[in-house]
Amino acid sequence: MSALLEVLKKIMEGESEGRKILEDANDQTEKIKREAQEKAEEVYKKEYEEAIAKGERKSIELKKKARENAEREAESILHHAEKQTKEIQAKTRKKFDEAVNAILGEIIS
Amino acid sequence: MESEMHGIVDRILYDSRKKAKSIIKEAHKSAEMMLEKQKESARRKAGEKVSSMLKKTESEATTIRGTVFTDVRRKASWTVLSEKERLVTNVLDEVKTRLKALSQSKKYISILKMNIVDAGTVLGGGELGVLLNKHDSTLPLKLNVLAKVIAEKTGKKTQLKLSKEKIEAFGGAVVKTVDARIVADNTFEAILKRREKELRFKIAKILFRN
Repeated sequence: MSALLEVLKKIMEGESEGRKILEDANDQTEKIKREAQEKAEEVYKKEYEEAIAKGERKSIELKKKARENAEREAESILHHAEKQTKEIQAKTRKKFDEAVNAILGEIIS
Repeated sequence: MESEMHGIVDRILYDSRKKAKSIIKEAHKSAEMMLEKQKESARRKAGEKVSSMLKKTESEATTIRGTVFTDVRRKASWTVLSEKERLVTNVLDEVKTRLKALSQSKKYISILKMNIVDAGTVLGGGELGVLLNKHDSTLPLKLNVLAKVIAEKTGKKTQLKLSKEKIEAFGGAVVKTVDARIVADNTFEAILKRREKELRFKIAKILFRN
């Protein structure tokens, strides 16, 4: 009889240890959840800021490219103006004396 | 019996450990999922903001492009206009050079006479003082003859008197009423300055006509 009691006692002890193991596991689970929740705000903020920073870099790059492209395309306008200036110089060279004489006429007539 | 008892206890402990392991694994998985959801939510929220930011960027890029073209067009116009301005100034400079040369020529004396007559006529005749530069003061101008011409033009008796005061001008004359209240500055410099706008316009018309 006492041997049977001893067996039951050992089994009960085993069950108690098993429950303890599960309780520890539940405690650990709670800890994991708590830590994850604490980390959640930081993770959100980090991810959000990284995505915004990436967007901002893209925005800066797009504007930079827009300026560079426009400047490259607009160069032809400046070249045209320089060409026009040279043409004006060539044309006016022939009319220089005419203009000087006309103004002298205005002053001394 | 004892070995059976050990078997049962071992089984209980084995099951408990297995379940504990599974619970912890599930907790880790759940935490990871929760964090991944947070990340996803942050990316979605940021995505909305970035999308709106990039729309604004597109509009800004169009503005930048417009500004660049406006600036370049302005610069191009300025290049052409400033060159035209320079060419007009060159003509005026040459006019000054030739007027200086003219003031040393024989032809000058008749020009100076005409200049004095014009100034005297503008003042309406009367008693007038004539101011010349040092060189022109030595020229034989016959002021009494010029006074008669002014008198004929204005209908008023006129007297011209050469002033002792000398002017700093490369040509032309200053004529004043005797009380010095009215002055007609007909020096070449004054004429050029007075008529500069009009002369620049005339020069431009000649230089840049097609």
